[in-house]
Amino acid sequence: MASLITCPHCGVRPREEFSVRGDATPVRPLPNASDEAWHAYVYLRDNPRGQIREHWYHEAGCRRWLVVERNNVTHEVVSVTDAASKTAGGAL
Amino acid sequence: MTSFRLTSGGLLDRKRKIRFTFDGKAMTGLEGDTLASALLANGQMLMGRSFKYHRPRGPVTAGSAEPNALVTINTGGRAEPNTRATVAELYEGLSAQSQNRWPSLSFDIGAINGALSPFIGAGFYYKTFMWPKSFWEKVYEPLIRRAAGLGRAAMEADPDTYDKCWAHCDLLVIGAGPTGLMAALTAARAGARVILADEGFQLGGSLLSESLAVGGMAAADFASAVLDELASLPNVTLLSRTTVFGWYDDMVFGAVQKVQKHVARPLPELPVERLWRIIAKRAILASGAEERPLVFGGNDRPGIMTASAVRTHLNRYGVSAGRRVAVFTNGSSGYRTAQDLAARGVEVAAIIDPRAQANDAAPAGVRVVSNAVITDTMGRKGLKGLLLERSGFEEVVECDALAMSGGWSPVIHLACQRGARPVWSDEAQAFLVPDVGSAFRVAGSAAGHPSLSACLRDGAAQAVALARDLGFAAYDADIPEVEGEPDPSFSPVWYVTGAKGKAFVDFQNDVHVGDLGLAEREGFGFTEHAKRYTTAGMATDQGKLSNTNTAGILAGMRGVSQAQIGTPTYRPFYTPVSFGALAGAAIAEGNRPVRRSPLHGWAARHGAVFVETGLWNRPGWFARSGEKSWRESMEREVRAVRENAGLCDVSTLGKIEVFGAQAAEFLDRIYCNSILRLPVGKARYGLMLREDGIVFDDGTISRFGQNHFLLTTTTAYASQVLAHLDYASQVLWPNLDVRLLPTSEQWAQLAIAGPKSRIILQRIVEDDLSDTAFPMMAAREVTLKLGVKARLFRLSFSGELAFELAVPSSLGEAVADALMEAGREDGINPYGLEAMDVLRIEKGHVTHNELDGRTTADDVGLGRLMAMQKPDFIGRRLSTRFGLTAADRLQLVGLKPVEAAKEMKAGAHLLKQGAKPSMINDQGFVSSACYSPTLGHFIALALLKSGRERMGEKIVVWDALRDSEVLAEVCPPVFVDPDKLKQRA
Amino acid sequence: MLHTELNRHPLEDVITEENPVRGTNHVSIARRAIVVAALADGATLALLPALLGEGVRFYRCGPAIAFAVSQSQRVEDIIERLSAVPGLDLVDQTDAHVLITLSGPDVRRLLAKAVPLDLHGQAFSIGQSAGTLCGQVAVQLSRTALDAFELLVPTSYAGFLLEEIRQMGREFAFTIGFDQATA
Repeated sequence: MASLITCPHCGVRPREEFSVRGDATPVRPLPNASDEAWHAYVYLRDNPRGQIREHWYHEAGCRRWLVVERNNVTHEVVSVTDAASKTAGGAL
Repeated sequence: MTSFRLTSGGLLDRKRKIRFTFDGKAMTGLEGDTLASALLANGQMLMGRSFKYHRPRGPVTAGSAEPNALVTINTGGRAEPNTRATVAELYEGLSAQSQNRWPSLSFDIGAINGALSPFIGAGFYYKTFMWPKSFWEKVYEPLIRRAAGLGRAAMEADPDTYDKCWAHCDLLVIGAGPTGLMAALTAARAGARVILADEGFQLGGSLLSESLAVGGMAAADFASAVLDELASLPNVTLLSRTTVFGWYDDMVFGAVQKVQKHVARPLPELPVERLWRIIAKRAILASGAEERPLVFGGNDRPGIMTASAVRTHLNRYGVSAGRRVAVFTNGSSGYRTAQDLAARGVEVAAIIDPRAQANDAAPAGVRVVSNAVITDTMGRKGLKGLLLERSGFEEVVECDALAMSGGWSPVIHLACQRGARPVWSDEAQAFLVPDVGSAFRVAGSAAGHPSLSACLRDGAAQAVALARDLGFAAYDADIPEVEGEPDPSFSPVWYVTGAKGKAFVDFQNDVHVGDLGLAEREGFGFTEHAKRYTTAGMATDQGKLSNTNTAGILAGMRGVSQAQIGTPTYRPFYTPVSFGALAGAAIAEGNRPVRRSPLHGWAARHGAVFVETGLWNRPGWFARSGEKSWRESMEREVRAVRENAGLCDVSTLGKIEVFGAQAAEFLDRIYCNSILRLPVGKARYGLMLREDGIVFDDGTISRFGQNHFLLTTTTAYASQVLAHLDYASQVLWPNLDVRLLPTSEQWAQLAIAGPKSRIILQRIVEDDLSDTAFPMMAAREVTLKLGVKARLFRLSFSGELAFELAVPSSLGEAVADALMEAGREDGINPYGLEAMDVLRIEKGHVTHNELDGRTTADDVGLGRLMAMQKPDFIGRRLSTRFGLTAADRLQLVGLKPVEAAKEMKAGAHLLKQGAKPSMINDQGFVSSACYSPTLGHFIALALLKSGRERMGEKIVVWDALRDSEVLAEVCPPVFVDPDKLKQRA
Repeated sequence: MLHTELNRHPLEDVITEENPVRGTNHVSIARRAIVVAALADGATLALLPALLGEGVRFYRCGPAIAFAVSQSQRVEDIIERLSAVPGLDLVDQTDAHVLITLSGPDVRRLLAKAVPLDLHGQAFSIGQSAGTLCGQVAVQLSRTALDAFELLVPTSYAGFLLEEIRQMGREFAFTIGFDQATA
């Protein structure tokens, strides 16, 4: 885990201000996608060693969901972006 | 022959005598002493008994790595076991007790273990205490438990307080010896914010025991001069008595400061310890190097110390370890100690040097025995002599203290705590820190620089580099000259062969060379296995003196380099940290926040008995005088609601305002039921599912405008639901125009329920509240006669005619008072959680007892809410899985006891009549149960396999915990007013 | 908090006496401070401070939410001033918060016990605001002067947090009391 996260809106904050939801890579399927796609979305997760992307929630700060790219071996945080921002694939 | 105080010298205030006790005996010391130096000054070299063999022990060091001199300081709730006497600051009134001995330190029955030593070598407990099996629990374990451990934990409450704080700096310097002082000074002069931390009560590190002149003055004076300058700078924080115990991710460091541990009666407004969390942009580890003991037969007797420990006690504390001190050294360190001893008039018995030739100068007239080793020592409670061996020739040398030096191990722990493995250096004959990135550097002897002048230079140079890195204009300070420094090299001797007595490697856990040999022979020679098999390095000192010697010995046994052996993994904490410091103020009532409803004071005034629900204190019931139990109060409250009216505080429920042009569409996707066409001015009960089709939370949705909704959640799930909605709006559907605001705190909310609720409410509300004007599920702003705007909802959790009135929370009490007054003649009663629960069970309204993370909407009889015609909502897809729609799922039913007087409790499981009570025959369980005053008997809601098809069946309610079986009838999950006539009045 | 006889301050039971002597280090609880939440996109929120009158502080909590705080203006006035701004939702949050001001030479040392942010003058300037933790409670922390900070504390946590502040402040002899402000 990281001890400090640089929230794009609030700056450097301690880990205690956040809650971690989990893997940010699964994308919610369309309503009529296959059973397999839905099953994978809800239940299946990879468990890679090294670079991962996670959803973190800045609960005690700006209440924004963030995509944290970090290394789960070295704990280095590579990037933190607002989940809804363009680079994360949404519109802000 | 004993240790004693010299008549002059030392960094002590000889005018300030300090009185203390040790094992009940009154002694005196001087200000500036540690407990160990004061004991030595009083001739008390024996300070403890070793863990396994109960051998008499004295201190080996003069500092933090001490393995032997562990005592308990203070008594009662302040007792602190396993305190190292060599770091404990002496203060007036200190009381200390030795540990791990009975009946006394000098006569300890436990020493018999020494005679049993052939049977209790390394790993003996893997091979013993197995037979007979029954003896383990009753005989062996209790015996081992009594024998294990060193100090005893205090069993009384700690009367002192602790706190924590955060700190930020440009540069954290760990260690205030020569390296750290130069580093801090350099960076501070450049304007950087510097924190300098040192575990000692006096800053200066090795300079405090140094006899060489530095910068033309006494080393200790040089240290003072630097500290004076640092103390004068506003950008410097000096933290003495502060151990930096851990390096965490993102340059966060943990440190513990002893604020009042050196005070007999701590002031209550200050903590005794403070935990620091330091966020540093850069850091320098200037923690110095630890001198290694030599491993030879009988190397653990009281009086045998490292050479630098003898020097420190001599130069800093003015105490000589003995009257006739021998030296056993493989490098210059022992010679320097001999020089300092001789200069102070202490007799040096001999210098024994395993090297064939050395360039080190001995004091005049002192015998040097080259090419020689020690194979045994004599004296039980104190050293009396040693047996040296040279090319087969043995000689006894009388002495009462021995200064030993086996080389130097850089103190690298912090830099290795995040997974980096130390690197063996043949040049330094020690493990060094690998590259751990540019933000955290190691300097001075911690980096393997052996000489004082190199340390002074390195500290400054590293600080210049880091300060410039941060944009400060740092320049190289003048490096002071060190006068007459000898060649610091040494020739490693990992252990002395031909030992006649046990040659100890780990003093605290009594691990000797034979144990390491056994581990290697039995296949546990890998460093992590050897550690656990022998327990070397597992004591409270965590192998500070033994790890490198262990690696050297194992390497020798295998014929490889220490590089192949390595060390066991380093982990925080560097030295033990008290639980008090880790908890800080978050103990007892401060453990977690307590949240109070805006009606808390009002409830208390009406006799509320509060219960904890999550972080909240909520009224469980309102006790009236004369009522003997909570059930009596609850029954009165339930009857009041069913017959007249009741008033309940429901302010704790979560409330979220939702705005936006697509708010309705958004909510349609969040809830399983239809929200899109909810009319303005109306409320609806809603269920939120998880994506796997299971119910997540329930609540209400009220529409105040085309683009304005108010949601409620259960009290317990308020923050999870907000997180869920934020996730949906930001991650799942960021293109929907939706804005959310949590407003739980803004509103006080009261439920007014009962046949008379409307009449009472109308007395304080301007608007027309008749059934036609304010129908079931209406949700609108109203005006109170008090002149205040409020929100009114016609919702019923109790099943009675009921309303919920929301006002800004500061007005909550005034409105509650007004309602109580308005309803006084009609018999209005406040009611609490117990009554609320009974009322809703009577009506079969579900709570998280039923929505327990395993149930679907259909399971709890709310399948009709699932608006499957909606193209998408969270949980829609997986809710159709056949496993979630199977006929034999647990379904919500009601239960009535066949014999009216019988009780049923939640958690009981259900069995078919005649089935053996066992979970194999489990048919479901009781989710909610209560005594119903309305019906006069117990009722329950339960989840029963295929429950809806089993109406009328008699089943067994089996309470295995309370050993009871009650026959009950399965019925529809509603016991009062099944046609819902009362709430539609 | 509004200021009529009907309103009850959440800390009324906790602050039992007004400190007649106000120390150099002091914790002041506002009897009356209005708070209005503003929800809009970042560009819209940036326009608002210019429209608000005197005596209103404007604190951003996130990219799309801000608080307007005042001890002199009324909620209605603020809503009136901002009514013409399109794409803006305003919600009265006055009763959802208690406003606590800490001031004095040791204010940063007190706050450092609970707040993880760097509060050095260079890192956290006057007017700067942050949603952060004060111990275990989420608060909106803002600097109002070199030696003064104000906290917006959620009402239900206010009693607990004030007790924590009292303990943290004992070392520096912080006094506590309601502010002397009148309507």
